[in-house]
Amino acid sequence: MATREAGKKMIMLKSPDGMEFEVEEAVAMESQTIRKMIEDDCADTAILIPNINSKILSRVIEYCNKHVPTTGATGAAASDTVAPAALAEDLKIWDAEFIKVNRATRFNLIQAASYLNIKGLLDLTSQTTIDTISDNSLEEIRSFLSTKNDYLPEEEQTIRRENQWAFQ
Amino acid sequence: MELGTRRRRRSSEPGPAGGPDYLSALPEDLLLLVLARLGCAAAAARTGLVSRRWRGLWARLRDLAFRGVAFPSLQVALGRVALPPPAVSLLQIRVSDEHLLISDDDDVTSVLRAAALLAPEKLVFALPWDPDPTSTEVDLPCFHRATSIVLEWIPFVLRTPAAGAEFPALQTLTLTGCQVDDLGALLSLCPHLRVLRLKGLIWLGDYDWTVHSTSLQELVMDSENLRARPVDIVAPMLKQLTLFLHAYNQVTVSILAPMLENVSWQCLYGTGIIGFGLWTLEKLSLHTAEKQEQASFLQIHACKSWFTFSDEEANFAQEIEKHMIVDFSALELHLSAMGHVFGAFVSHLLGLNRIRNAIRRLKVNLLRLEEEEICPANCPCESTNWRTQIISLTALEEVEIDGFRGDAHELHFLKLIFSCAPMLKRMIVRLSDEVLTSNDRCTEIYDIFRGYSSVKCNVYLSSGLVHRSQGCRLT
Repeated sequence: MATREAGKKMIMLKSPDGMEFEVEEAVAMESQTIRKMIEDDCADTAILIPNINSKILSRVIEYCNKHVPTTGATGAAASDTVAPAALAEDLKIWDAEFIKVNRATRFNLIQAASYLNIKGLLDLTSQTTIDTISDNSLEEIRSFLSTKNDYLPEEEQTIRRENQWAFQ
Repeated sequence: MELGTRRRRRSSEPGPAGGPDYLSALPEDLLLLVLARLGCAAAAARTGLVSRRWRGLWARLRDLAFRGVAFPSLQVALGRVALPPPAVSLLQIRVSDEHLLISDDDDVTSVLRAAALLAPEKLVFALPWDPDPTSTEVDLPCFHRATSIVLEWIPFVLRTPAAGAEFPALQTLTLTGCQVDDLGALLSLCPHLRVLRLKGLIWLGDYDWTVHSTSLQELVMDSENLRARPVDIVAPMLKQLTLFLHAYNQVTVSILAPMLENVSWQCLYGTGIIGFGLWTLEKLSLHTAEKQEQASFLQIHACKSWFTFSDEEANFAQEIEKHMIVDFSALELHLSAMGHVFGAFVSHLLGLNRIRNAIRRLKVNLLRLEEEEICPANCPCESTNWRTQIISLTALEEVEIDGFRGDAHELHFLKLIFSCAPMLKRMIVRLSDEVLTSNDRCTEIYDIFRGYSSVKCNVYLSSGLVHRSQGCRLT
């Protein structure tokens, strides 16, 4: 429910498992999907976020809380007092800690970031994923992803032949 | 597809193994988004071997970078990319040296044609530098969706598509080390072009630098060490111009750009092309102010020539005025006099109408050499009666002379400036290394200063310290 607390407009986000999260409107609007709902006036009551369970939604909110451009009591941006470069460096370190999660959580976060359209989180989760598989051999990638090689040997040969340019 | 087959990890593998295959289970658009992060089409194509789920996935990437792919294979690789829609947002092809010998124009034509079929929004096609470009023509196909095109070092002449074809979305075109058969015709096919960058251009034919565009806002032309062509620019919306010329003759410049704001202009002259008396013009540049408190300035580098230009006064003035394409308020002179008198040359420059009326700030930098010449009697460096000349420098407020030695003719020049600039507020004289603080010449400088008490005058030693005069009060 949209309420007011300490002069800031609040938004209620509901997960499908029944949990409710009251967040500042500015934080919620880090999600372009929610921003659009608010701007289109579809957010008078609580917003139900389908497909994202409370555990993941709470992590997403944690991310947005950290990344929302912070404003002080006077409304002046906090970045006025902290150098932008230092702020960016701080965020980078925070992101690196934030994404130290198990694979299930990370892939749930990718889907959540995609649905809620949070570019920073989508970049972070997909880059972390690709970093873990690039520079590895095929066997290592399969092993890491827990993927079974379902090709027949001759199919594998065909693919190699078709994409010979990529293996040179 | 089976998921979750537990496999034993090797110690070098990152992260945990086992559990379901979350990545493969992602919807295709998200899987593509992750795959795009590889930033390399070949690496993405190699993931096709992971499992059936990954087969051919790379071909649906809309952000494609082909780097280091052998040139003969490029056409095949491009042919495997799924045609739009959805639109290809970026197609980047960079061929590196080791894979190359591009001698066949048909190959380049085929790759360009294959790239055009994908109708990318942004295209980068970069070949390695080729020392031996040819005059063979290859067709430049139309990229009807492209907003940005970058072409580098294509060793053939790009043939402009026939009229009727267009680059309707093109906003930025960058050609580095490329030749175009008809730049004017190409531009006429780009009705929305805002930025045009022509760098390291090689021109085999006698084409002028003709840029006529009603939409262009930024233009960069950089000929590096190549011979300048006549410059002909008609661009009513042009705001930013960067131009580097290398002139082996008098330049031909025609610019019609009333909105021009930012200019970075430089012309290098071959020795002995343009000169006046004993002086040859080396470099001329014009830069508009980058910040509000700065001034737009004209910079002229000249040195003593090994022969004398006679009857070149009018030519010289005309040549310099060709470069004054925007207003300026400061003049910077860098002079290598080799021991000769510079007063006649400088006063000739100061006497040019556009300079005389415009400059508020003058800086003269005298470059000294260890081995200097001795000025003979009737030396052509004294070609005019400059010492008694009156040039009305009514806007001049600040003068700085660096490398001042205090020779008689230099003191005369100092007097000339004082007498010609009634609004002068500030005079800085920086002494050359050779002048010692005890030198009588300092006294002579102060004697001149004393006659102009309204001007704030300072003498600096070559060390940068302010010279303290004795017995005279100067601020």
